[in-house]
Amino acid sequence: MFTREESFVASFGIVVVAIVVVLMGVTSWWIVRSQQELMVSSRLDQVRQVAGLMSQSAEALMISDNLSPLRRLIVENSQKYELQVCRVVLPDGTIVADADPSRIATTPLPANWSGGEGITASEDHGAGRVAVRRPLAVAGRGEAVLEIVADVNGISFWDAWETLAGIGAIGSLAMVAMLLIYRRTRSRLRALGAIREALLMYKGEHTPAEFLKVSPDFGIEAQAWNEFLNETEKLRDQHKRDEVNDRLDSRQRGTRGLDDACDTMPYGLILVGKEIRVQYANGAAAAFVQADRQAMMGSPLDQFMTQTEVLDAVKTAATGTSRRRAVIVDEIETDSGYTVLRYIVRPVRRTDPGDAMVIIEDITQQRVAEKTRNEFVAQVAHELRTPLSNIRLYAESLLEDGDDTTLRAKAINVINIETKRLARLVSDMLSVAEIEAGSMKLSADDVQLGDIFHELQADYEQQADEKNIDLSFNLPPKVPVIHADRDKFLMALHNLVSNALKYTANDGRVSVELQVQPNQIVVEVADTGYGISEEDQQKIFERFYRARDERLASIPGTGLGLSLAREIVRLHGGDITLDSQVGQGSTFTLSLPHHVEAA
Amino acid sequence: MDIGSEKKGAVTVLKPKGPLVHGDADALKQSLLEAVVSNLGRVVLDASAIPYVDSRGLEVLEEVSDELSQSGQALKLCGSTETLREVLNIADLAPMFEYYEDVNSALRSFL
Repeated sequence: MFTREESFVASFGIVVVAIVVVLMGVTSWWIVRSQQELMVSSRLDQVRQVAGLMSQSAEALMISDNLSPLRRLIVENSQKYELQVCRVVLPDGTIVADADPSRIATTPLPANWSGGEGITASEDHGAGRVAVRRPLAVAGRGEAVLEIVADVNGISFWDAWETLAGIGAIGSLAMVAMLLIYRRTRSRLRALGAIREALLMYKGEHTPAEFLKVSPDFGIEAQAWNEFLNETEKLRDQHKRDEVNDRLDSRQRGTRGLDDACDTMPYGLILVGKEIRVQYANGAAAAFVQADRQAMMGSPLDQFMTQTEVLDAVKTAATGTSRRRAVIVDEIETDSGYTVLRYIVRPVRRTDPGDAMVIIEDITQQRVAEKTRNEFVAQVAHELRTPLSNIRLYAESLLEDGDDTTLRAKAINVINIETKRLARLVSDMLSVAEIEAGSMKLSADDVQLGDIFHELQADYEQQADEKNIDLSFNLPPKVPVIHADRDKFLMALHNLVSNALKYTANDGRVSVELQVQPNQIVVEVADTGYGISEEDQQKIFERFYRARDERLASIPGTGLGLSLAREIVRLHGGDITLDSQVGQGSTFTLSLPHHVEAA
Repeated sequence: MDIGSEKKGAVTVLKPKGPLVHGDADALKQSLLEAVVSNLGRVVLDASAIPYVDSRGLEVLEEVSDELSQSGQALKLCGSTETLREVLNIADLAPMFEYYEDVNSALRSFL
C-alpha cells in the first residue's frame, strides 16, 4: 500500500501561485500601457483641436497683415495648452509667430511668397510628444505652416500605484482564498494525488490490488478507491473461478449423466485427490458437511470436515499407506437432537494410490430404532419373566404338594392369572405388529358391554385386593349392546384398567364408569395414582414410550398398552383422551360412536 | 396456520393445520427448510390436516422437494387427502414426492 507524499499537491500549489503572480504582473503592465496610450490619444486630440482653431485665426490675421494679435494668440495658447512648440513658419523658414518671441523674425510679412505648394497636414506622436502640422493658405500672399509640438506627460508604475495596489490587494485576497480552499480540499487533493500515482504504477491486469492501494488515512476518496480495488479483485477472482468451473464443467460434461446419477443418491460421496483436496462431491455430501458444493471443489478437505479420525483415514487411503477400507461412526450433538453419520473411507485404486473415496451415510434413525428395539426387548423379557417365574414357582409347588387342596387351588388360580397375562402380552405384541404392518382387521359383531365389564371386574379384583385398591365399576341400569370387535375392544379396556391398577399405589382407588350418551358411549377409567406430567402426556400414546418418572422405573411395562388401546379405538372410529395431574391421578376417557336405538 | 412440530426418533414431523395458501405457505416453507437443514433432511410432512392448497402452496412443496432432491432425497408426505393428491396429479407434481399412508410408515422409510 502506498503512503504517497504531497509532491503532486505541492507542485500544483506552486504552479497556481506562479500563475497568479504572472497574471498580476501582466495585468499591471497592460493597465499602465493602456493609460499611456490613452493619454497620448487624448493629448493628440487636444493639440489637433487647438491647431484647427489657431489655423483659421492665423490665416485671417495674416491676410490682414495683422501679426501682433497672431503672435499674442500663439503665446497665449502655448501657455494655456503647455505646448512646447507653436509657431507659424513661411516656406523659406522665416518664423512669423512663435511662442518664444526671441525666435520671431522682425521683418514685416512679405507681400507674397512662393514655395509653399505641396505642404500637407501631418501628425506624428511618439517619444513622449505629439506633433501636428497644418498648412495655412494666406490669400494673395502664399502658403505657410502652423507647427505645434506638445509633450505628453508619461506615466510610470509609481504613478499607477493606486491601481497596482488594488490589483495586488485583489491578488492577495485571491491567494488567501485559494489557500483557504486548498486547506479545505487538501486531504482530497492528497487522495487524488496518491490515486494518480497509483494509476501511473498500474502495469496491466496482473497488477495486484494491494500494490495499487493508497493509505486509507487520506480520507473517504482513498477508502472508496481501495474498496473499488477490492471489488475489482473480487470480480476478477470470481471471473477466474467461473472460467475454471467452466473448464471443469466442459471436461466433466462427458460424465454429466454419472454426476446426475450420483446426485440422486442419499449417500454422500466425496472423491479426494492428492494433497487431500476435494475432486468431486455429490449433493448429499455437501448437505452432510453443510457446505457449498461448488466451494468444495478443489478445496482442502479439512476446510469442510473436522473429524480427525476421518481425515486421518483419508490421508492414509490417499497416500497408499493403507489399502483397507475404514469405517468411522461419528455422533454429532445439535440443537435439534443428535445425528449419527457413518463414514466409509477407502482408496479408489489398489495399485495406484492418490485418490480416496469418502462415503457418508446418515444412520441416525437406524440408531434410534436399534436403541428402541433393545429397550423393548429388555422390557418384554422382563414382562415375560415375571409371570413365567410365578407359573414355574406354583407349578413346582403343585408337583411337590399336590395333595394340599388349598395350595392347589391357589396355584391353579395364579397360573391361570399369569397365563392370561402372558396371553395378553403376546396378543398386544401381535396386535402391534399387525398395526405396524397395516394388516390389522376388525371383526365387528354385537358386543354385550355388560359381559365385558363383568369379565374385567373378575380379572382385576384379585390384583386390586393385593394392593388394597378400591376398584369400582359404575354401569348404568341399562347397558347397551355395541357393534365392535369384541376381543380388540376388550384388549383396549384391559390396557386402560391394568395401567390404572399398575400405576396406583396401595390403598388407592380406581373407578371404571360407563356413560351412555345419545351418539356415543364413554368409558372413564380414573385412578388416584401417580399422575402424568404435561411433558409425558404429549408422548404417552407413542409406541414404546414410558413416562420419565423415577417413581415408575421399578414398575415393569413395554410402553405398548396405551398406544395399542388408542389405535384400536381409533380403528373403531373413537378416541382416547387423557386428563391427569401429577400426584393426584389420571382419567383416561374412551369414547366410541354408538347410535342409541329408540325404545 | 398452526404448524405442529414433533420429533419422532431422529425425524421431525411437521403437521400444518389448515389450507396451504399464500402467506401460510411461506411460513411452512421456512419451517420445512429449517427442519431440513438442522435435521439433514430427516423430515416428514404430515399433510392429513391440509384441506386444500393454492398455487403458492404447490410452489412451496415443489421448492422444498427440489431442495431435498439436491441431496438425493425427496419430501415425504403422509396422510395426504384425496384433494391434495388430485391437485398434485393435475399439476404434474406428484412424482416429486414420496407418499406414505401415515406417519409411522413414513418414519420406517428412514430405516
